[in-house]
Formats: sequence, C-alpha cells, structure tokens
Amino acid sequence: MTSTLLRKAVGVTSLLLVAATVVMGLFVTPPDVVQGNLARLLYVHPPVAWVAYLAYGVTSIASGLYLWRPTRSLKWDRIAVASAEVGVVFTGLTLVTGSIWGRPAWGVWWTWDARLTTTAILFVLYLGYLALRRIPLSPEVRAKRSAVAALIAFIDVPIVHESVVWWRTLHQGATVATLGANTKVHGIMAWTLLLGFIAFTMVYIWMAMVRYRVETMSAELEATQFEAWEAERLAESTTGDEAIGRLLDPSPGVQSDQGVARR
Amino acid sequence: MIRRAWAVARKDMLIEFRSKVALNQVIPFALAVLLTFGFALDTRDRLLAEIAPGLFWVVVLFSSLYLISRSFRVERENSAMEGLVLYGVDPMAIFLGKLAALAVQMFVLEAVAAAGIAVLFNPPVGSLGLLAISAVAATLAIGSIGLVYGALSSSEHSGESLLPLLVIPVLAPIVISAAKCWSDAESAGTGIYDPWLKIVAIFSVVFLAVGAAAFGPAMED
Repeated sequence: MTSTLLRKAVGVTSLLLVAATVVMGLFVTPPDVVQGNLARLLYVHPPVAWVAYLAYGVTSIASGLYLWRPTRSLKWDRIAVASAEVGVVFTGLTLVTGSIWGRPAWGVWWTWDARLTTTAILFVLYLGYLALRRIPLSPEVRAKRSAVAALIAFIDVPIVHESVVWWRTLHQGATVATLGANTKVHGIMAWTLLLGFIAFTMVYIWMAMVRYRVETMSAELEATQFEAWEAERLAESTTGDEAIGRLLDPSPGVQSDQGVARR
Repeated sequence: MIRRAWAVARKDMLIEFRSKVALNQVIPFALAVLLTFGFALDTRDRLLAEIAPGLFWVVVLFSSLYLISRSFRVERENSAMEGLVLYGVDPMAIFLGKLAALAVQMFVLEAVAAAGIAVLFNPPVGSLGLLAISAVAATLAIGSIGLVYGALSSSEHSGESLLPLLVIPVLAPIVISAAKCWSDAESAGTGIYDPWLKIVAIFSVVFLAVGAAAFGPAMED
C-alpha cells in the first residue's frame, strides 16, 4: 500500500514539476538573444537526454548486480528492464527534440556529429536489448542473457563515441555542435533548466516505478496462471479414474469415431 | 585448453567441409550483394571505387551474420552445446574453437568478396599489408562479438532474426575503423603505419576481451 502511495505521490509531483517547467519555459523566461524562442528547447532537450543516460546507467548497475552472485535476484532484472524501456523512450525523445532543434538552428535535421551518431547507436543498441528480452525463455535464463547484453552495450557506448569522434575529426574539421547552446546560460533561464532536469528525472522515476510494478505483476500473473493450470490438470486426473482408464483403453465410442475418420 | 579449442574448431570446420553451407550459400550471397550494389549505385566507376571499402565491410558484416547463425544452429541440433558443457569443456575453449573456425570461414569470405570488388569496382590498391592486417583484426572482433550474441539469442524461437539487430550497432566502431583502414589502403599513404590500423587493433583487442569474458555467462544457462 505504501508503495502505491509513494508511486502516486511521485507521479503527481512529476506532473506538477513538468507543468511548472512548461510555464517557466514558455511564458516566464525571455527569448534568447541569439536563437530567440528556439532556445526554449533548452529546457526540454538536455534534461531528456540526461534522463536517457541516467536510465541506461541504472540498467547497467542493475544488470551487474544481477550477474554478481551474492546479489542475484530477479528484482534487479525487473529494475533493469523497467529502466531500459524508459531509457529507450527518452533516447527517442532526445533524437526527436534534437532534430527539431537542429533543423532551424543548423539547417539540417541530422548531422553526423559524434554525439548525435552515438545517441542514434545507443537507441538501436537498447532496442536490441528489449527485443532480446522478448525471446521466450525462463525468467532466470532471460535475466542472465539480457544482463550480459546490457553490460556489453554499456561497455560499447564509450567505444562507439570515441570511434565516431575519430571518424569525424580525422576526416574533417570541427563540426557544427558548438553553436548556440554554448552561450552562457544564467539567471531565470538557468533556474528553469535546473527545474527541467528535476522534473524529467522525477518523470523517469515515476515511469520506472510503474514499469517495475507492471513487470512484477506480470511475473505474478504468470505464476498464478501456471498454478491454476496445474490445479486444473490435477483436478481432472483425480476426478476420473475413468479418465485414466480411457487413455489406457479407448472406449468403443472413440474407436468408432476413429473408424469413421479412417473411412 | 588449446587442445579442446582445437577439437571444437576442427569439429566446426568438419561440419562446414561436409555441409558446405558457407561455400554454397554465404559466399554466393556476398557476391550477389556486390552485384546489387553495382546496380543500385549505378555503374559510375569512380564512385564505386571510392566507396568500395565501405561496401566491402558492409557485405562482410552481413554475410558473417549468416555464418554466426550457422555456427549456433549446428550446436542447437540435438542440444550439442549442452553436451559440450556437460563434458566439462571450458567455455573459453569453446569460444576460442568456434572463433577459430568462424574466422577461417570469414577469411575465405573476405578473400572472395575482395576479389569480387577488385574485379567489379576496380579500386586502386596502395598497401596490401594494411588491407590484410586490418582485415584480420576486424575479423576477430566481428567473430567474437558475433559469437557472444549468437549465444545470447540462441533459442528455439526467433533468435536468428534478432542477431543482426544486436550485433550491428555494437560493431559500428569496427565498421568505421576497418572501412577507414581500407580507404587509406587505396592510396599508398602510410602503409601499415596508418593511424586507423592502431584504432582497429585496439577495438579488436577490446572486443576479443569482451567476447571472451561474456561468452561463458551467455552460454551457460
């Protein structure tokens, strides 16, 4: 019960914080000198990207804790998947808001900048992780395999980032990423940005909590369903000695049916 | 352990030698893809020669996925992998053995694909040494990551269509650096002292280590 209450409290708080960010970001803060109203994406895009990284960090830690024998528990697996799913959503949002920002600011929806490319690969990596989890396997096997995949993804991200940096820098000069956002952020804008970070982090916590709950419930449902099926089969077998008898020695009715079928 | 790894490698090579799946299916597939690139990208010679390094690694990566799937399909039949584990074969030996067999098949694939590219797209070749060394390093990286994900996605259901999704993003750094190496090898340039060769080599070592460390947990259920 307390956990339900906590979850609701977090949900309401995050909703209020997001609402406050919207009000601050759209109405209270002034437009930027360089980018005008476009700079208002500052209150959304970096917080969303931060949440994506946070979510994958949590997934990696939870996966590590699952693989480490002393702390092995399916609880960690559920935390890992809950966090990864939210992370994928926020990575998607990061790419979308980034594109929306990039189009007017840089003139293109997409550029092969190191950070963008790494984020795109991150997105696909964790889509793969979620797809891997869809393979029907026993919970323990799935937890172990997906934990290994999550950790490889975690190790891979800095490698991808470095390779893309080298890919671009060894090839051509500086990229466009040093525009606009590097101008100093201060005053009310900085506070709104901070608010955005807190608001979206709360949203993450709330979504991950709900997702964790769903994961726990579906595991419970699976277990109770299994018990129900088991009970059904047991009931069938105890009610009828004749049921067993029928299996061992087919009745004339069944035989005639088969006869008809054969003809 | 070397002896056991050798036994596993020999077993996989023997299966391939008898079934000839790589030879009759995967290598022709790679050639078909090369021809398709020719059609799809038009037959402007300059363009094809310029992008040949990238095309080569895309073809090798995609074709290797079939080899990797194959490497695990043979283990799933009759639960052969469980048999190996129950015999007490060290996962590291299984990893090394399968990697060796896979690498040999990939080298053949790469040689044929490279020959195909040389004939069809006619790119200049500056440094054969750079081509060869970077190919060996990249092959080991692709093989070891592929084996881990092959083990992870190995299942009765839908595992094989999942493999590409898992492997391709992880191997992005290898594709980037190997393609760069091959690009540089088109001009004589720095030869085997190419900066990208170092990068391929470093990634290759990292991926080999990751593969060796993760294969055991990925395989033992």
